[in-house]
Amino acid sequence: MSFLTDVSSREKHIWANLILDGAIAINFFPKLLRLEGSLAENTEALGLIVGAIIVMSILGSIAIHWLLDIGKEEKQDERDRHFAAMGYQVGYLVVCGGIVFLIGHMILNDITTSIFSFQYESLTRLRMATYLMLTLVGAAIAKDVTRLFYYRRGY
Amino acid sequence: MAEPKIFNNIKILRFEAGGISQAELAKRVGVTRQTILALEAHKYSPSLELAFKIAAAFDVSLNEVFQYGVLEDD
Repeated sequence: MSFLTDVSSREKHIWANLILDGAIAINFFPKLLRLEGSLAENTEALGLIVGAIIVMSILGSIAIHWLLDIGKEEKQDERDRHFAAMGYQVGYLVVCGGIVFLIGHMILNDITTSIFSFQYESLTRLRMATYLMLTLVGAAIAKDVTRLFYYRRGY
Repeated sequence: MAEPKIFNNIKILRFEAGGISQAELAKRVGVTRQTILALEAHKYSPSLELAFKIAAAFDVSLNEVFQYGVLEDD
């Protein structure tokens, strides 16, 4: 268990966030993407999914903090700030990529509808919101992975 | 050929200064112990300010602590 003693509380916090974000992404996004129709038609299903996310986040957070023996986070120093900045840089790129993907998706859907009279995907508000949430979670994961990469490999 | 980088003698200087711990040095220069650990492992290049602080903590000049070049084991 040398990993637990060599790693700072800050790194353990990042690991905890990463595990939770990953678990949420793997568990809930497939369910969200399977929902068809408008927000109003899926209120109950959405409520259940959001409720499950909240419960899982709280319980998961408690379990991971206990398992990794995470103490109080140390005060940030220049190395932490530097790696955080690099993490945000990568996260920003993921957000940009996600938004460009969504814009492209919307335009392509419009073009195929008007020219070829078919929609390759029913891009509802719910679906768009899901893609945006996926982008945000993806950015958070990318940010954490980048920070952990630099903490482990060095810079 | 290996890229040149900043390396340091912090470990030796800590020993010569009476065996001060990484935690103690970290406290003196205002960083975390993990940053000193990363510096000693040549996994992090410090800012100029931190480099000066470390040199001042050992009461030596900057180039007695830090050098720029290729490590022999690289």
